[in-house]
Amino acid sequence: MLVAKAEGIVKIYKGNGLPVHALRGLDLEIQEGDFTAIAGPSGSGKTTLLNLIGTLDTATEGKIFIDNQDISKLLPYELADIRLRKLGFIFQFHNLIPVLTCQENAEFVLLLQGCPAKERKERVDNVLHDLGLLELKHRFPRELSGGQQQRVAIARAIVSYPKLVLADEPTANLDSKTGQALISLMLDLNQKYKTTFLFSTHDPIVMEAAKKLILLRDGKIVSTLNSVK
Amino acid sequence: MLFTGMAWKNLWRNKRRTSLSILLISFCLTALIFLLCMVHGFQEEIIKSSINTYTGYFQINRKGFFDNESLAAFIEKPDAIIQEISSIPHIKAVTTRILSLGLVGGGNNSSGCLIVGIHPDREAQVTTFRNGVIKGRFLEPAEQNAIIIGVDMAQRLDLPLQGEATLLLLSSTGTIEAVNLQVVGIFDSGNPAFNRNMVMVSQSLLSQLVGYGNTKVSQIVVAIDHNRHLEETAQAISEKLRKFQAFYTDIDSSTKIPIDMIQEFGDVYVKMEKGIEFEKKLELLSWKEILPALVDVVQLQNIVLKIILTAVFLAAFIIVLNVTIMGVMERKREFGILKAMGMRSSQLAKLIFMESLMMTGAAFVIGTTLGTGISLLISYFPIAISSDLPLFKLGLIEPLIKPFVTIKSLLQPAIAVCLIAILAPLWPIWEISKLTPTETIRSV
Ligand SMILES: Nc1ncnc2c1ncn2[C@@H]1O[C@H](COP(=O)(O)OP(=O)(O)O)[C@@H](O)[C@H]1O
Ligand SMILES: [Mg+2]
Repeated sequence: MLVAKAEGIVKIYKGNGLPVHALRGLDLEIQEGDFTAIAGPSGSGKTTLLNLIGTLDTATEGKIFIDNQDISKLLPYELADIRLRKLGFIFQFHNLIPVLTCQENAEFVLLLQGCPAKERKERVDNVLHDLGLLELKHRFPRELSGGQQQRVAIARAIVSYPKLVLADEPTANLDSKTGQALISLMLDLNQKYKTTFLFSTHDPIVMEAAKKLILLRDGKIVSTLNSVK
Repeated sequence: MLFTGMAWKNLWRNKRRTSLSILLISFCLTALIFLLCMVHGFQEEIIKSSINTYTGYFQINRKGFFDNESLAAFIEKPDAIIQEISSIPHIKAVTTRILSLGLVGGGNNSSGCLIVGIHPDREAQVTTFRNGVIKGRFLEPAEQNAIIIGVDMAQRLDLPLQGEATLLLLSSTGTIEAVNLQVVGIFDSGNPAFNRNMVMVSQSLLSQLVGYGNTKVSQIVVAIDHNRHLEETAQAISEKLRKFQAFYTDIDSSTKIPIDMIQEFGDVYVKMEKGIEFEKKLELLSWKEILPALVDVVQLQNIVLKIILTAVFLAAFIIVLNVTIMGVMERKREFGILKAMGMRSSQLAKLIFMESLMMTGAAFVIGTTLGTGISLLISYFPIAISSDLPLFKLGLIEPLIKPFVTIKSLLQPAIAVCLIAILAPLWPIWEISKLTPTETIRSV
């Protein structure tokens, strides 16, 4: 089943200086259960692409479908609802709300969704357990290591059972061992919950873990590889 | 609910900044409330004292009497009116007075004066004039040969207590009446004009002298329980007076007064014209109409208060605005994350709003409690201040700082604080809503 689709995406940043062509005509399909990595050098457009699919930004040209819905004409609050119900995000760093504990961070999305208290607690506990965070659940983000923080970010992204989790270089701020552990954790979740992941990286070891690899250069897909392993 | 807890936690991220802001606003509020209570207390006192010494809350006169205190402007059969209005709920006491211009002489001196004929016992229920007697005593009911005079007049005429004063006046029929009276009391009313020019005799005596024959008076004076019932009582009295208006249409009110007689009075209160004719109507005046200067003073004070209120409001507004802007701008990335998590801009606005509301709310509770507490405390234990100020020399009020805590004194600062809580977050909310989620996430 198709989870997300991008058709002829062009993104031009018109800042103060010259316009920057971040993406130059790009097509992409994400199927349910995919575990896809977007790889490419810095400045190749990985973040831009993830932001567009994540409805955080709008494309200059082309169409994006989330769960078969064209998002280009939606209002900001409708986009917010799509993010709330269908998407999960993991950013490179500073993912967590500093005033909330691990548990509260993970719970927050479910609160926004209006999930009943009992179910909320169950789901948060399950996910924290799966990610080995149960002992840390009352800690605040500042009391956690970088790897632990990213694990909480993953917990928060998947706790609402989103259609698609978007992760922008989730391991970039971690040492390679922790980064690897994080990716294999994501892979476990992908298998266990059938969570669809789309993540960017420029770390070859992380790329290897992907089931599908999209290589990006200068805002264009240069090649797509299936099942690297 | 979801946002309340988070807003509260956000508020205490920067403990020092938040607590300092709360303290500052609380202090503004405390000072403001105290100031308002103090000035309102002062106003209440000065109004009460002016009303209580002589004016009363209401005076019922013939139309025009207020401008021209002539004997021609009498009220016929006042008892019927008194009986009618006595049943009005907030009316505490009613009395009548006869007012006449005249001359008072003692020894070789004489002076123009306003002669007020009172019912001593009923007068004491309506006004506190009796308390102003500093030597001798107040008048007894129906006393025929006694007079009380003001301190300044006693001095000017060299009239001691128990001395003999001669009262001279022009009756309503045009005859000149004279009578010798004993000074039984000397008063200091607090009002210099009264002390200089007013004398009081019993109403039965004055009625005889002016030829009113115990069926006419100059005015009816009404006391009510509290000034806040002024408007509704005025309404009720006017209603009752309506049926008496017809009564006056048949009376011939013209009177002839020789001009040269008037001029002798010197610094009399009102100037009379020859043969003036009064409208055949009763008129109800409240103290606000009788003492317009007092109303002006109160209004002027209120304007000054408004200016201070506005200044303090602006200062507090800038404090809250500054704190809110700082608090929001340094959390841009966090708001981006929240947006990515699916929080709507309106929910974000709600969160920021809540934070401002909590901060001002805390300040509101502290400031109002302190302000009210201090004001209440000082109202029970007033602070004495120098009585040399001209204001206090009038003797209308005691030289005390004595706040008066009313809803009115608390309402304006409360509204100001609510306005701050609502207005201050608008700007930062606007700034944040202009940014797209990516822009906010990008900023670290
Ligand atoms: N907000 C922006 N304004 C202008 N140019 C931008 C903006 N964001 C990204 N770019 C440019 O777009 C290109 C792609 O950036 P990005 O998507 O961040 O690449 P990557 O994530 O692969 O490093 C880069 O040249 C970058 O400088
Ligand atoms: Mg990037």
